[in-house]
Amino acid sequence: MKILFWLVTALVLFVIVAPLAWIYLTAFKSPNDIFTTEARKLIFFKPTMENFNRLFREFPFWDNFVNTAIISVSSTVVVMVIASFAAYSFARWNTGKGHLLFTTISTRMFPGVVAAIPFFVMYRNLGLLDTRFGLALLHIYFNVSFATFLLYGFFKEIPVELEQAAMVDGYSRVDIFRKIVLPLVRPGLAVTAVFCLVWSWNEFLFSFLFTRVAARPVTVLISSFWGSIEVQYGPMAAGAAIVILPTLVAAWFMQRYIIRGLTFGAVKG
Amino acid sequence: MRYRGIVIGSLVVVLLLVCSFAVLAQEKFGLKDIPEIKNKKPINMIVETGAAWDKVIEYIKQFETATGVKVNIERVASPVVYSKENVELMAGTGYYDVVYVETSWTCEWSDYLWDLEELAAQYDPKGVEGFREDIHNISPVLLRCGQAYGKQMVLPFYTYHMGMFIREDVYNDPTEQAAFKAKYGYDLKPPTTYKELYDQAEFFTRKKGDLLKGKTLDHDLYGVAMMAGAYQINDEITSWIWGMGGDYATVVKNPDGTIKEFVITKKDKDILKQALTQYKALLKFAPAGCLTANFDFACAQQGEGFAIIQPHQFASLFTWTADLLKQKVPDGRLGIYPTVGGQPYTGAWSLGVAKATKNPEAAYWLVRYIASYDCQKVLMKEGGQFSARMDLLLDPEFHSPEVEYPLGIVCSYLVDIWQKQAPYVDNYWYFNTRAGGKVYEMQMNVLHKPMAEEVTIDECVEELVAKTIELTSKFDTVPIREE
Amino acid sequence: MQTEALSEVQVESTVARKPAIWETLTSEKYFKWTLLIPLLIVLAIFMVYPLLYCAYYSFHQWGMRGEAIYIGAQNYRQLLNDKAFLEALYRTLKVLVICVSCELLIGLGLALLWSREFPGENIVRGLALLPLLVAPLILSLLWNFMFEFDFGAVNLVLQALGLNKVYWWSPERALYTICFITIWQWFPFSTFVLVAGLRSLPRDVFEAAKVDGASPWYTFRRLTLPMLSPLIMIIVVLRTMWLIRLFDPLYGTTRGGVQTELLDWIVYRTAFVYFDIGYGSTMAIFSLVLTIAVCAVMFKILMRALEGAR
Repeated sequence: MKILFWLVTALVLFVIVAPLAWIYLTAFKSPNDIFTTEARKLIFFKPTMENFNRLFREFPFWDNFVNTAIISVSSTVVVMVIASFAAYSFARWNTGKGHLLFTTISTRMFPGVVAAIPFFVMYRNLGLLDTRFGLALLHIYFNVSFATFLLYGFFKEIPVELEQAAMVDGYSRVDIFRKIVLPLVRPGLAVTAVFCLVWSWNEFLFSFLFTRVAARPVTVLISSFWGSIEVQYGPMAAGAAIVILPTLVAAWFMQRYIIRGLTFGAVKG
Repeated sequence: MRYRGIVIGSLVVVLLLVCSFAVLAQEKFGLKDIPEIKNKKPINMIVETGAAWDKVIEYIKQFETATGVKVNIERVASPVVYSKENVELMAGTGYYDVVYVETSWTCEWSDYLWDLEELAAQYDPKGVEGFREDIHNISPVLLRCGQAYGKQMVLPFYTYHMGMFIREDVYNDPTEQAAFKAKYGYDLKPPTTYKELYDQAEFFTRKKGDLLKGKTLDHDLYGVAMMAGAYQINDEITSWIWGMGGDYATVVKNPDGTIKEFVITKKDKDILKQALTQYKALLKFAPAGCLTANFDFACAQQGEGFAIIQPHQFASLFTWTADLLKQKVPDGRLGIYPTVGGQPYTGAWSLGVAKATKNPEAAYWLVRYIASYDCQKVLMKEGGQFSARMDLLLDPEFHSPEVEYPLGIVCSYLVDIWQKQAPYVDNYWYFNTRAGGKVYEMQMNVLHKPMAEEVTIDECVEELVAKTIELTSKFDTVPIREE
Repeated sequence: MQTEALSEVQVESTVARKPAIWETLTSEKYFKWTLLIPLLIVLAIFMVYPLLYCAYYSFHQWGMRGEAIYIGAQNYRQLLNDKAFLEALYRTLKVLVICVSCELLIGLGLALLWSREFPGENIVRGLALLPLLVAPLILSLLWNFMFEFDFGAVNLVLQALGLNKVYWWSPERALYTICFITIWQWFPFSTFVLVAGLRSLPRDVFEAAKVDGASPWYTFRRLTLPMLSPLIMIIVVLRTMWLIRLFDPLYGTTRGGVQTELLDWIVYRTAFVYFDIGYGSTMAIFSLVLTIAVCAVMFKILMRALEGAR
């Protein structure tokens, strides 16, 4: 029984890890080792740093990486403020009787590609194209609804009695929110922030359309290794290998919270 | 086949001679010929990723130094160049000064682009004459593709004219030749008709353990490798129907040369139907992966020695395929021939100057510079692409014994096929419609469907005709009808 | 002296006025709305505007050039007769059913397996969460290569194991390959939500059932499943919302070919490749109404389930 347990666990982990490992291996391969029909070469090959060198030398990899970092961090901060306000309102007073909450969530159901065109025209008029600020705004838009929903579950868990007691003590509504409620939902804030960060980090469509050179995030760079006579899998894998690192680290440290966050407060403890 | 080789060979020699005289006769336009540019506003442009541009970008720096105009380059994946630029052009942001154009979009974007001759008249000390003198070295086919309604809107810089790649070593093998003759009753030579192509594809499709050139195969062998994925199949089908004298729509012109209307004739539809049927029949002899293959996997199939013929492939990929083959099959050798019917798909990536530019002067000179002999040479020598300039393709440097295979024979092939195809280009529908870019993207999707067994060929033709009419009537002003 | 006093009064009065607004905003009556202001602003700008834009153009023929021509409901009529669109819709539903059910089954299986704490749990969980966080678009480009027939890692491994190569992108299989990619990325989500659920179940009830001699299957069906149902609803609702908008796995792989065109891809093609804004808007509005209809029902059930769980 125990053997079976570990066998299945190992198999699952293999299925999860193998494709990611493949990315890391490919990042160190020369083109000939990438295009091969020998299974042996999947693992045994002469490693080369060429892909990384090209990435750093010929492409503005680090500039784009910094853009990604700035855009995702700043948009996440704003999202957290807006979403925690709204989620608290929904959770405590059931504002809008559920319809408003549903409307908020349904913003994620509008096809982004179509929305992109009116946004583009608007951005042109406002001069926001190819600015980090402009892209961060869009990331706020598409993260805020889910963040609100996620936080809603956490706020819902806080007993009303606690707040009532505080009110008796003479706390104002603002103080209650700041000094009592927020500290209690800290794990919820953490996990929501991680999700927003990761989604903003990984976002492609808006990033691709609304930036050119100055504000371009790194996902757009990686997806661009698709030329008309070759797909450069080497630099692509090398770029991917670096870009997914922060998310891997986040996954590692936040694992406990992430799972709790995704149960929307339906599970206690 | 020998005979054909001699013809091409002698043609090349003649052209070489003509050209070397031309070289002696005049200096080529280059960086030093660009006059001082007064407008110093920086220029923005988009280019695709890939080795070719990695090299050219270094040379654009020389342009910056020489003229004092900064060039900002944005690099994107080639499948999305169209969407990205189109949004900016249509929304009128005026961001791109130099526009990266696939030749089938020339007419579509003609409203957004400067007529280059107009700019030449304004900024070129030699005027329009100087402009014409330099560009007459560019392939006539590609120049025509870069025109919209008689005006030169863009200059091509590298071409992806198609050709047929075959395994020359296999075709020259006496045992194969004898076996083929015995089975089919005629000589084994590069196919010029569909029947020959089909026979040969069938003939070369073999199982692991069978013989090829008298040696046992340690892998399955396929007659053909094609690109039936929803990405480049339309280029193959285009070669096919052009070769049969058809088109997606027939261009009907007024006596004064302007376009009267587009008609999707009965003949066009019949040819398309036939082409699709034949293409699909041929897929039997192709590796399974071809159904989703793009150029890279199709070439890799041939390069690995798994496939004998690529009936239509971008000539620019020949050297890469040949190099791969040299590593995997040391005695293998590739040859390049016209596709069946002799009218392969053609086109080039090109550059034009945006109407909305704030610096037409510098943008014009940048386009001229990239299309110049020097810059194109870099593109070819270091970037591995094939220039649109014939004087360059015939440069003795690319025909020395060391590089004649694989580089030189592609150059000769291109120059040869351009001469032959030049009379037809003007009537190709792609290069006469404003809906070209859209219809092209639509075709990728629709033409792929019957190959993936999603619809029948009749349904596919029906859908293609309906969508072509829909898109053309939405995006072109020329009327279109079905016959 | 006098001026100073005056200014003091003025300061006082401004200080006094500001709290007046502040008071109203934070009053019992209005505070809940005050908290919503920033969200509503964001939604108004980013949702209402494109919605109106699309609603307007869905009744027009327009390709971003020239005048938009009013054509009434013709776009909608065309949509309902558009075979490609209806097929994409059907396929999306198919993917939805396959992915949600597979993710739930795999998730439930693994959750039962990992329901007790075990040594090395942190490592297993840390690794298993990875697919959730990696950029799906970048992955799709690389999956395409991994599943390639002759050069892809998956087939090379199969061959090395002495098995036959599989043509993952054949028309019959490609949609399932897409499903696989999606399931691969999302099964950790359902797994760990259910693990958390299982661990929070009250022990005593199960022990009582054991004492009463209930079979494990009976316990699972009558106790475990009902108690997990709110979590299962969460998974179903969220995954439905995301899967209807599935796009990324197609981008680097089939690009809508080999019978894998899904709803969002066809919308993308119409709106962003043809730039047929009129028809694209129609598709967008139609699919929005559809998803909202589906999700509204689910959302109701979900909210009830969440209330019940508390």
